[in-house]
Amino acid sequence: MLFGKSQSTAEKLRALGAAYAASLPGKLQELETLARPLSSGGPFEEVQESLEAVRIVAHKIAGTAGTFGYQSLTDHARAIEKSLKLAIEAEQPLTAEQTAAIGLQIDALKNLSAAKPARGAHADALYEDTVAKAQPTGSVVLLAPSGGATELLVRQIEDAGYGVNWISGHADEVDGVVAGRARAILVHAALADGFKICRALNEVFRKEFRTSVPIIFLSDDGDFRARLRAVRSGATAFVGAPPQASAVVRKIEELSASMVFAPYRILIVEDDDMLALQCASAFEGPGYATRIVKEPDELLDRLQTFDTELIVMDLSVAGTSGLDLAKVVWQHDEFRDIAILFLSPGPEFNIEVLKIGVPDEFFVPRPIDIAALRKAAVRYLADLRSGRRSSNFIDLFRHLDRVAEATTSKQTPRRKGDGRGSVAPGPDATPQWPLKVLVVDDDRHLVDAMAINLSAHGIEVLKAYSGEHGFRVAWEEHPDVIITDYEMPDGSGDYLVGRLNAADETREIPVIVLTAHTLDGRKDYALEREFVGRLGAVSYLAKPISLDALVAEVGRIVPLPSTGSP
Amino acid sequence: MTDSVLNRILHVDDEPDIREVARLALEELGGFTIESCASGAQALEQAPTFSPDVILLDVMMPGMSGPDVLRALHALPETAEIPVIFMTAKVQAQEIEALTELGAIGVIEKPFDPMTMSGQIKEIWDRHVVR
Repeated sequence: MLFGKSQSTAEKLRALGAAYAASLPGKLQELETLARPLSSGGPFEEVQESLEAVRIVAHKIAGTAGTFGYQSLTDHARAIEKSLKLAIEAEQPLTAEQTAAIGLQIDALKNLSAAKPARGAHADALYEDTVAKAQPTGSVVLLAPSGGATELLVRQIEDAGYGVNWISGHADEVDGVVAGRARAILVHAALADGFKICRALNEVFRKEFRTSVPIIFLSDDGDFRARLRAVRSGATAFVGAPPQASAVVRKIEELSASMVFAPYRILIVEDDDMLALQCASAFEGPGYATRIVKEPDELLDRLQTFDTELIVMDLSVAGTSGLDLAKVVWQHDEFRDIAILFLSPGPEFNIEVLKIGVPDEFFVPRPIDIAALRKAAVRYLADLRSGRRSSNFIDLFRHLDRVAEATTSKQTPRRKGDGRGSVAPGPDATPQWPLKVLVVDDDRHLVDAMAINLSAHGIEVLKAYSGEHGFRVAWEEHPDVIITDYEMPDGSGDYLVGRLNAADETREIPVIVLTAHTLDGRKDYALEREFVGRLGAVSYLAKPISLDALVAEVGRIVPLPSTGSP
Repeated sequence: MTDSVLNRILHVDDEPDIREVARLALEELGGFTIESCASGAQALEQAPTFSPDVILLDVMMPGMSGPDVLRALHALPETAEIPVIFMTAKVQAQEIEALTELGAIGVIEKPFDPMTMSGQIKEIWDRHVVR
């Protein structure tokens, strides 16, 4: 009984997961069938029943899939449920656009369900944890063909005090976790492709698992040719003609004493337990040291105490976002050298991160492909340790630092608040006169109109007509407030807000966003969440704007002499 | 007066997959005695005879919803005192508040983690017993 009850529970969990996976196509077919009438375009009363039915099925999938390792299915099903809930509450049928979006979500569910839940789902995590913990620390892995000679060798090595994990089949059967913890890996030439296996193991363990577990090549021949092939295959040592257990044991002891152990240090920032386990399972083995941060508040403390080389950061973290957390890290000079790999629930989550210059290679999509995550991390860490590269952001920071140095800051930056529009000028926020407000809009007439009105209140107005231009002016002039159109034709309003948020010198400048995307000019919750919640603007105004309202809004952020305190 | 030892759990959920995985998580990993029901009506029938220490109740079920079942349990003298924990995929603060106002001692989010589910229930139970 190596694993006991935990293993049997793991196996049962695995079986339940498999049964659920088998039932998914039926559930999704049901969802698709129920959703079909939604595209009829009929009035609410006609589709109400279908809306309710689809919502219930989506709710059930959302509540169940994640339990079996399909967190992405849960996310997509929740999105469907949410859209339908809003429609039902508003007593409105879905628009054609919403119906199409739900169709896409159902397609995504079907595609995701076709994939096996990523390794590291509960059952696998439990199983691997059990395997890793149950393995005697003084074990060796032996790859050798079946037969009496091997059985004898196994017994003799065991008699010498080593556990033996004997694999008589293919190298694919080698468990990386077990082998990575072994004292040595013994590969016998009599195994088909023994030399190739040796080479492959060498590749995997040296480069991927980051261990220096010795690989000892065993051969019934002892001639020069056999030794040479062993060396060329990357073996650490050779025992032959034929291999005697005593000689093998001596070699194990000799080599394992000099094993080098310098694990990669990886911090996983993930509030979802299962995803955290999945990530951690990518870095099983002695080549890695991992720590998991589930509470965003603990991030900085953990960075202080754990000498981190790489952060694996989920972009979707409850209550905040991975990007916001990354920005917290970047605010500290001592952590800027730490690279961040972003776990992305979807391309839409990447946009803001890409905008600030993080290269594509630092995104790992969810659902997590464990091998791909490990590969991305190891590729980066190996380059970092060999000095071939610095952090993914260091060039970005150098650039920003150069600009910052060249800029003479004339004022103390005003605090932007918590990104929820709750900017209240404190005692230390007394504005210096004249106030400077930067206005950014591609509509020059509108810029002029705003400038005239703001100037009438004694405000110095800076003008820019694109996001790039606006960012440059913001850097150079450090205005007290920035008013920017969000939907400029080249998308540069979005770009500007991203750049301002990403840079230390502009991050604290309050931003008022102007948008034409409102319902009849009224404010709405979704926009509030988008601009104030996600982007961190202090507020937004609906176009067409009232110039008086604009001045009042500026006055709410910084007291104006002519309007008094807000 | 609530018995301070948590041993018997009545789990009510219309999803067979969830009943199976919860049974495994609570019986094998948590060491509890579990009875599962597929509907609210069945739960009302089972609760008096099984005498659970706590009832784990799904919120959205066809027929009687979780809140409907809770109200019915509270109306019967032999089940009125049994603490209820809701399980739901809706976990916004106001929804949790609404469920606890109905008299539940706690809410567990779905999807749940089978590895930590027992611990969550124990935590809720311990808080309840201390009160």
